[in-house]
Amino acid sequence: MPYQCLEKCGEYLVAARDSNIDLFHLSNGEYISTWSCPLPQVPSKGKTNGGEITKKQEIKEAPLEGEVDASAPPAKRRKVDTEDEKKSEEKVEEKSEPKVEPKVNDNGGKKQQKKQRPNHRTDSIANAQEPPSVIALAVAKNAQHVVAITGEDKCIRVFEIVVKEGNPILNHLSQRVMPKRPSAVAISSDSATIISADKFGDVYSLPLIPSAIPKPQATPEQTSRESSSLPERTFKPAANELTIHSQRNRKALENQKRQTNTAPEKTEPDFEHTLLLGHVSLLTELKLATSDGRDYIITADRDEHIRVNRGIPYTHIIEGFCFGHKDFISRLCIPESRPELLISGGGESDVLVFDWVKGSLLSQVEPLLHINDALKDFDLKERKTTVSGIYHTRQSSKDIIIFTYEAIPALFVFATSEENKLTHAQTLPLIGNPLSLVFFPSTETDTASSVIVSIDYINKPGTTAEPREKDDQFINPLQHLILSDGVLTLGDELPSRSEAPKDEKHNISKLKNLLYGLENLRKRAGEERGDGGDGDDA
Amino acid sequence: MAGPPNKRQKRAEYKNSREKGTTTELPKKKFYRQRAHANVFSDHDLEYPISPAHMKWAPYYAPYAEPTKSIVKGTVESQGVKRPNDEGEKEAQTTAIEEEDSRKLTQDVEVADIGCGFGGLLVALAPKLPNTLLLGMEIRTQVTEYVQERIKALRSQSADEKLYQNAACLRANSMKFLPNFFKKHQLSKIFLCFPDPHFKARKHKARIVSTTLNSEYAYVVRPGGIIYTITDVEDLHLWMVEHFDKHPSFERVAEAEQEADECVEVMRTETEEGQKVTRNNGQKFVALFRRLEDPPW
Ligand SMILES: C[S@@+](CC[C@H](N)C(=O)[O-])C[C@H]1O[C@@H](n2cnc3c(N)ncnc32)[C@H](O)[C@@H]1O
Repeated sequence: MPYQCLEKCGEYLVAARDSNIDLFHLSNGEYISTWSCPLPQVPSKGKTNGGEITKKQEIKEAPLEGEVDASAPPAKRRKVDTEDEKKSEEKVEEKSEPKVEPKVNDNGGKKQQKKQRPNHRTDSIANAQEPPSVIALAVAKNAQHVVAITGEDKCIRVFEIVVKEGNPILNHLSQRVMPKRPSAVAISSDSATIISADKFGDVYSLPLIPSAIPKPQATPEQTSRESSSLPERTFKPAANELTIHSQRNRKALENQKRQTNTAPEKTEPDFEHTLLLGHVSLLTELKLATSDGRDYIITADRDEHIRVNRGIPYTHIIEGFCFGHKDFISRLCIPESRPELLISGGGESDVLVFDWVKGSLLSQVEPLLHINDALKDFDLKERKTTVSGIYHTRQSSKDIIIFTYEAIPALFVFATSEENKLTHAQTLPLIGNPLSLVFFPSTETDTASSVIVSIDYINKPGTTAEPREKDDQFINPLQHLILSDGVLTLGDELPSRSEAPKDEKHNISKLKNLLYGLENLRKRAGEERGDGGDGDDA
Repeated sequence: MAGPPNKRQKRAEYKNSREKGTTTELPKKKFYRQRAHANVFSDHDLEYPISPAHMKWAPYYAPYAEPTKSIVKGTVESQGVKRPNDEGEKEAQTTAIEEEDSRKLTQDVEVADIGCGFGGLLVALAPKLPNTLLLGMEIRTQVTEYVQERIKALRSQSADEKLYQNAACLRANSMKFLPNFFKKHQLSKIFLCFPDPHFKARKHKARIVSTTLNSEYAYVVRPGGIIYTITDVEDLHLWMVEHFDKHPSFERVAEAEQEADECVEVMRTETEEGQKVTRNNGQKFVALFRRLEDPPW
């Protein structure tokens, strides 16, 4: 599987491929260990194959077992010696004695056996027998904690990098299932709080490390919208025939009554979480920013809004908006060395540069005008494009911004000018579509640094669901580039899996959703008209 | 827009005849009815400005627009009557219309009626607040069109007194796009009259009042401004009170002050829903909330 997200964590590269997260040494690109997401909990265990799966689950779920994973990148498997494997199985035996649910790590272990209410979504995933994919990663400033979002199970997972028997591994600390699928995540600068934005438009904060004492269920949750003591608490229709006077309301009430006897409505998560703010739109991006010593949360949505909110604890106050986008926003970037700037891109060809505190548009540029000869074959006029990444680094006192687009096999390199404009520096063609990118200073000098780009080695460059030919040469999923004096060049090959991963079977449509999902945010003309039919009431 | 062909045809004919004929006649509701609930989360092919600065208000409040400097008068007036005979003329004409539509207003819209329905509140308030621009926002196309026709007819009926020039209605999903229309602190009043109750808890995010959405109301309303709410559904009333009370940017307006506000009586008696509730001898629950100053930070 290609790596859909990369992050730097101290001296390590954290790289997610499908439902696994690999650790590498940044210094030499050497692979270290893998954490694999367990299969979703199957309600009835011990059925056909259940035993094995359960065991595997617990191997994966049990702390400190992450490094011995059968699904490590193929070339690395030799590192996994059988002894280790045995050891871990022994531990599993021990562990399974008090029959702990995989969710034991959750909330200090309170969510145990009996309160195992089945979640419909998870069930359907369980049937598919596929672990959920990692859709976002975030790294804490302390360079110890990593947060991963797994999509299908709406889960926020926290890891700690620990060294076990000389080997750094991702130790899975907790998993918390959010009310809606998270779409973007950030960690506060004090490494204490996770801020998570979801597909329903809400932004929550939750402690990085869940509090040990479970929140008593009975306490009405002050902070959450859902906590209202009104209609949902009583769970009976919130009106009766006598209080309803209009036909439209009466119809709504009838529907409600019909609903009442069916599935119970969702209950609130029982871990500590606070609703900070919300849009009535799908949130696509979230950045924490500071200006003048004040904290802000910047949120972006599918309806072209970039909203500047005050930071905790004043998140109910909207300071302003950065207007100018004509299509959905997919990526935001605040250059660390130019914290007053916000660079944003999405489903349109222009990327915008804002002074986000003032909400003023400073400049805009169209990176795709800089298609060079090597990319001529990709007819970009004919298709809509989506910005999939905006990355910033600083070198020799220059700010460098790299843009990537979904399914365009190139990096578009820009420099910021005095007048807050972006000027094109270079377009570097790649042997596959770029998926994610990290910078890190290489050794002594700071005039040169390394860049690692993960690429889609499965699909042909420029395509999202057309696998390469079988006998195509093996391509390293992680490409190494050198950035020197602001110019990108191909670097030495990273130590890699030597053999082609021919055992890999790919579900191309699943892969497409995972790697090229941003395009799905585009609004389609005529999508569910609001002015549907004619009614006789109103 | 769906519906049996003959119904659709009748509507088209009716609307056509209104275009041509005298418009002092008020529109008939039956040609503008529409399914009650629109999905506030879907895309709707809505039109909305990129930002408040992009909003072209002049066509809605023509008498309040600043005069343009260089209007090619003749071509504008001939629009729709005389076919432009060459590209150049056509172009000049579009530029002229552009320019005319883009004229700035001498004052901003300050009152919004969100989910204005058939516009009863709007047309009742317009003469009472003659120096204020009022905007009705409605998500249903047909209903919006009805209100626009209604205002047009009322404007021509009172051509002498020049009433209703300060009222207009446009189609919008206010839950998503309020900040596209209004600048920070632009409004002094927002009306939320008889909002759809969305009884199901699963649908609560579809409610026009929620803790998170209240932040957007706080953004467009200036400190000291008032949010007016009224409903016949007691639980919805309690819900709105709870969510505004909980929001640090608002405080409930005391009953004495509430009852002294002339808009409250209008809200009770002039909204179409309010009248329906009266006919059915139902209760009406009113609550007003004041926008507070943001704390310094
Ligand atoms: C029950 S009616 C009340 C109409 C009017 N305020 C009255 O009191 O007579 C609620 C109205 O809100 C409109 N509406 C619902 N959601 C809306 C939204 N997000 N934006 C604009 N209008 C909305 C509905 O189409 C409907 O016409």
